[in-house]
Amino acid sequence: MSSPVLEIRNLCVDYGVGETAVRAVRDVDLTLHRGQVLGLAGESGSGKSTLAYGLTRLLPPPGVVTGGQVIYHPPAGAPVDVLAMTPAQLRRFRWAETAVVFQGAMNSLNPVHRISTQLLDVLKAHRPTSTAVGRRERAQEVLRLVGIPADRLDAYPHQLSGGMRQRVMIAMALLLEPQLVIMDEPTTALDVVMQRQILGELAQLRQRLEFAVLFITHDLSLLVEFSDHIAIMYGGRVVEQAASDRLYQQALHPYTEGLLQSFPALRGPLRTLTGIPGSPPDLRAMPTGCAFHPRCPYALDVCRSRLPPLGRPADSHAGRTVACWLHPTAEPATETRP
Amino acid sequence: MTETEPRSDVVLTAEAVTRHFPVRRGLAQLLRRQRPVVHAVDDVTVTLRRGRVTALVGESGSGKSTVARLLAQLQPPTSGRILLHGEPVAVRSGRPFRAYVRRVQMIFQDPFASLNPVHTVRYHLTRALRIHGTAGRGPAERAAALHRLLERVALTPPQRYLDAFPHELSGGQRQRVAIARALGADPEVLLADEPVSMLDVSIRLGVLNLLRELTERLHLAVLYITHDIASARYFADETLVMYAGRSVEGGDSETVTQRPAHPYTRLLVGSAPDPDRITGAAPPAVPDRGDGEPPSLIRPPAGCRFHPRCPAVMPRCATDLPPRLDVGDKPGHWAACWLYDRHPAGSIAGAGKGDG
Repeated sequence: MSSPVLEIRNLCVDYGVGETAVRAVRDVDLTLHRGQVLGLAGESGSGKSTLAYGLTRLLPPPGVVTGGQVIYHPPAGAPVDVLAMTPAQLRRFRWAETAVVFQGAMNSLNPVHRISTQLLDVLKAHRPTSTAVGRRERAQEVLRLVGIPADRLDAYPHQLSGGMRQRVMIAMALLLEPQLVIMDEPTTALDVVMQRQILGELAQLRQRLEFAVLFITHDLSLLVEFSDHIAIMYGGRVVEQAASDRLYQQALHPYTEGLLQSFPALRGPLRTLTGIPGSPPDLRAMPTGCAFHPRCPYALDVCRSRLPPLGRPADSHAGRTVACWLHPTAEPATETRP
Repeated sequence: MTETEPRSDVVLTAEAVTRHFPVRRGLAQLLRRQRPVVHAVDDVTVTLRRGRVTALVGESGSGKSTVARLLAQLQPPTSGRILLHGEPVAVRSGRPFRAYVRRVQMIFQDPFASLNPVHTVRYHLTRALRIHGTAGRGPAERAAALHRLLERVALTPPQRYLDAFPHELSGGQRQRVAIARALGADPEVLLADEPVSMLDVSIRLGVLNLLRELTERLHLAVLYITHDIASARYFADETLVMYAGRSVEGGDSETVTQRPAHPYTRLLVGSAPDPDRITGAAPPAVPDRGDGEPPSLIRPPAGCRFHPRCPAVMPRCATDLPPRLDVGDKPGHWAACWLYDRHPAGSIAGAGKGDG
């Protein structure tokens, strides 16, 4: 794997301030490498979307980033901390360096403007020196890239189907050739056939254009197939991180194991699956120790009182980390470099 | 298919039901005296049996929810009949409707919307018991009935949940309350429209397993509507696949998911996320000739509705509507596809193979 493009260090995000604040993201460390797809999986309330909005500084109030660093490595030049950027720097950083495809993206297009207006607007704002003809050519080019005929450029969003709107959103994200694309449940609203088509195209585009993807979804079976590396979040923390195939073959954290057991398989023998007993934790009243211990079938005494650190387990390969007392860490690792 | 089963096991049947919805006419259509309709459901037959789960699988817009609404008598079919224990029923409102609803209950997708936020669990369940006359006599019997209901859906101890408001419960608990409310009528049929798709992934299986257990213990006939064909394999005995308002394939779930016969089912099975296929840029296992879009239901394609996208399309697919044809590998496994027509020579070579 090549050099990092984004390093998240000890990121904490709260909702609200003072005594009523709820910590939605706790001490998250993640590294995203160039050209890599990092999958972020977790249930609703696990903090995965909050993390994405926090690191792009798009978090609406009452969300507050309370600590940590988000180091962005541009292709040329010195690394910068996104959290310390001035508004002007941030304007240049967003979209041009990091683009976001939002949840329910098919509804994020403005219904009263043509696709062309919305695409050209981005180019006009970020490349003020470009010519009108050049902008239009670039817009047509990205539409072709995602499989939409260039003559649909002047269509209104309602004239396109859901799958095409989703493709337009991906085209918009790729418009300025960003280094990093953050996708928050990009295909959840689509049917499986369309989902596979779009993700297949995305995988090809990524290989050609070499951007990194932070792929956020609750569907772990989809992530295993489409991402290189997976981080599992539970109760605002990353509890396990590993290469996709290793995570699927041997999940170390009981929550990951339970999550993998929650998807009935389409092939292989039919087994009785149990899911995970109990319900996801309430962020206002987090359990002490490991947040997962009330639902964990292997909970030890130490799990109730002490928080397990995220680190490389002594009994496993390098390149993966887990936060669980069942797998004591060899050394406290803050980040992983496969 | 129904002839092979004992008659008494069949509880509810939709027999060749069709439902069209009128659309607003433009000037051109007014002048030409056309009455355009959305062909939401065309000629679909579903049979629900006692103690069995039947899955209805399809993409959004394939008409699967409309079938449930027809079965629940929330809308009358444009043509075709709904049979309860072999008797045709067509109730619209009032006492007959209430008597029907007592036997056929529905569970909705979103437990956040289907429970009233200003009322407690006790209120929701008591109301269901009162309306359907199953509350018993006096407060003691009613309390016992409430406890029994909550215990059935594994919300124990019941005292902890009776006076809770919906916002105090998690999504899974809410859906259990919705199931308890449906069971309050002591129904024979449960129509579950995507009962777990709004729930967190880790608790979906808990709710599905509960429904499975209730089906067996209370001998319910369950219709399970889903877009997730893997969960149909796990949860349902029989599976019916719908595409663009028509049923395209049916049979027992294991056969339909392991040996899909209709090209659309193969596409669906091949497109489902499969962690065993770790490659990154996996191309679709089955090619899709079209752009991945189902057709317009206002002017559906003639013949087979899947023919514009079908990789195995033949000339007759564009003109003749394929009937249900036996696939021939398992009894009861059928596909509405000309590939399985035994009569014309030469057109079926290699059709039965291929797992999608």
